[in-house]
Amino acid sequence: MRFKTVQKATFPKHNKSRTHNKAIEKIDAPPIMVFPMSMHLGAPAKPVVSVGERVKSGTMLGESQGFISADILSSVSGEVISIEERDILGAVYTCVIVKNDGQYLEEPYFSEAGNEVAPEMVPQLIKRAGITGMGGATFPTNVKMMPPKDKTIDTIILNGAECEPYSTSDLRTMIEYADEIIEGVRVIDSVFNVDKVYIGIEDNAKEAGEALKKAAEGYDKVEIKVLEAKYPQGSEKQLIENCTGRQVPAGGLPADIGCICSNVGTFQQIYRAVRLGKPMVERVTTISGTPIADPKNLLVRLGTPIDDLIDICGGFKEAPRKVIHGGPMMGKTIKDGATPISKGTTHVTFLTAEEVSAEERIDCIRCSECINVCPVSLQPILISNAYERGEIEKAEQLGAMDCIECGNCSFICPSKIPLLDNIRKAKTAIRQNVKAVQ
Amino acid sequence: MSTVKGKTTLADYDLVLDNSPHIFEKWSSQWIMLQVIIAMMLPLIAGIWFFGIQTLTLTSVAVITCVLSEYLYERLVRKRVTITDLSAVVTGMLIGLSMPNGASWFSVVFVSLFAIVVIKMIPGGIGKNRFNPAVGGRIVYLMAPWVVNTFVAGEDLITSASHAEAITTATPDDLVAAATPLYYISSGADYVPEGAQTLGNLFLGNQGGWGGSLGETSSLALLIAMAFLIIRRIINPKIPTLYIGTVALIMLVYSGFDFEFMMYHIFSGALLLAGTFMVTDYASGGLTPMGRILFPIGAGIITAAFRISGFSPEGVGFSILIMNAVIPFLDKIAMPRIYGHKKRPGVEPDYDLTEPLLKKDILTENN
Repeated sequence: MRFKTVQKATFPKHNKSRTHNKAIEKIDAPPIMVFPMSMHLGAPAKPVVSVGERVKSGTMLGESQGFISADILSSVSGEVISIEERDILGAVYTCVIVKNDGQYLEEPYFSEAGNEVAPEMVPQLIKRAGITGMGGATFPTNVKMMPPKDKTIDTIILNGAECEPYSTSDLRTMIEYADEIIEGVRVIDSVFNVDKVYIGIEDNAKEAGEALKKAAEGYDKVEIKVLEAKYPQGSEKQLIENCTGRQVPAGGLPADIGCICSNVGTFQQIYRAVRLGKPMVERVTTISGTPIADPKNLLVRLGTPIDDLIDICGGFKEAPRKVIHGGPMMGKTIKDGATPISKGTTHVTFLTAEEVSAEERIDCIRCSECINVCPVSLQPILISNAYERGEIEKAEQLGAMDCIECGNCSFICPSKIPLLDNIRKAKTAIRQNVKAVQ
Repeated sequence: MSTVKGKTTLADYDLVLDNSPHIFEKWSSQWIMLQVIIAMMLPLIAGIWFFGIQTLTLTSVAVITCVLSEYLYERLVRKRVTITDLSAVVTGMLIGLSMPNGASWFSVVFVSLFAIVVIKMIPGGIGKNRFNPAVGGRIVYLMAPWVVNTFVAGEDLITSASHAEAITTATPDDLVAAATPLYYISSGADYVPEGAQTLGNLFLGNQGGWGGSLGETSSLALLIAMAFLIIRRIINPKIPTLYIGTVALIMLVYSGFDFEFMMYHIFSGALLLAGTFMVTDYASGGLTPMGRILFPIGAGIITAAFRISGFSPEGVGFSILIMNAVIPFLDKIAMPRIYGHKKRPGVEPDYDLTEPLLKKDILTENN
């Protein structure tokens, strides 16, 4: 029981120093761009273009379906050359493939945008810009901006706590686009007229805090919360609790406790959409890891295949063994280099064979580390044991569905028990049970 | 995709697909056990210094017996052999250090066998044992003459219990001439009698078993071992602090704030050894954060009660076994409240007595 970890967190190595001080580099889009109809959480969009059609940057390629969904926009001008099913991060989605003509022609900006926008127009503009949360979970931002009528929003929380190792995209965004982020906050503030704005950052991102402080000078609602760098500090529920002391009720949303919480980059996009009328067509992403010769923070057009970013970062100096869309704690592994940079691609992590070598599992020694590090106070080993014995109901009673899948339990386990894998399987089994009952 | 000449693509590399997380803390259960073994070296050396080479031979006998019996048991019941996790070595060393001066090698073999086979392996091996093997072995050693005396020689229970206890802390020859400090101050006394060992001797260690068994004699060595384990983050400092603190507090109040009397209790007997290596045992201790606090407090109260009541001057072993039995229920009551919920989860923790015997263990079944 490492006593540092009574804080319900772990301390994986940051590995951020190689890109910490590297300014964001804007790159050209490659000839072929891939737009899966799901770059967001919720229902996939439906393609509204056909093969051979000419598109511009900002042209709608896929229309959102249902309440929790988002539009997919082209980020380049060119021609739709194919609409096909592809496996993207473990699920099959329809993808629109666009051949980039290199001219970057743009759709006209939203005419309703400007410095004086009616509050009810804000969510619409956000929706038209295709904005989703940029921290990884990609929840459609316009939905967040439309809380149920009976909820009063009194707090805005900006998530700048970039707790995944290797990622510096939020850090650089905060340093280089501090003004735009604060303007984005003013947009949301104009809708809800909140009492307080918290910007949560980790104590290894002090420069970002200074930049934001400067940008927010005279804006008294804003408070910069410098939090300890630990994992998962940037998890929405944990950040809200650390900033406000309130806990999101089980099965509820931050709006239930009067909070709107989103990634810092999202606020930058909100500013651009509402004040400038620009759609979300690009994002900052970090390409890092031991195999990468020259790791960088890149401003990438959405839909750029990962294969097209490797040589820009100097190629490989060592063979990669795992390529992770996102970070090593929560990211998904990929094999297909055509997997595109998406709305939630904070970073792409490359790991060597040595770094991913798995140790043999042995019996649980009941050290209770998994319980100590769980940010939502679950007892992972008990859920895992229940699942392995086929006691799905017991796994549910122990709170398996409350798991946020941060990976802390598997990370810390000295006996190398695949705790999170088992909890995930238990969750799937619980969902199937629920379906069977209905 | 790799048609563009010279372009680096993922297709050229042998990549694995896997579930998150993809990185792991660089430690292992073996490493944890190794740290405990390293920590036990100093009390072992102190034991050799004060009691001679017998400390080393008895500890070696205990370690060899523990490892061998675990290996043979696992081969016999066709389970995966787990001796490489080093936990049997830890149990063996702890048994060796708990033995009194002049213990015979066959009693060490018997205690080790009992600890590993009956207490640890039959319930299912590491992590499944409800009771601490080394403490259980120690109690068996204590009880053996007690049982024999009571049922064979017809002595009354209390007298034989005290005699049994006395032999763990002193050589039989010493019994009459110089009882152990603990024997002095326990049995209801609330002051330190004339002629008892000085506190300094108890702290540094002393020949002749004044301060306790082979590994318990030097409080200094044990405190250093405890500090080592805390610095290495193997044990939570809360646990020994709460355990020793509870005993100290009760003794201080009981003696009418006699500081010397309190220090006598801390530095004599198995209190520090248990506070460092036994109360902190993962497998038989509390699982939940609250359980980890309640366990040492409960054990401290019971230890103090045993020492004050005079039923047995050395209540440490009994207190741990009692808490071992109680802690699953405390853990159940003290399950942590899940984020965003108002109530604690209402479920039996996986801890019924028959569980390890009747329910499948995925890991061992697969092998």
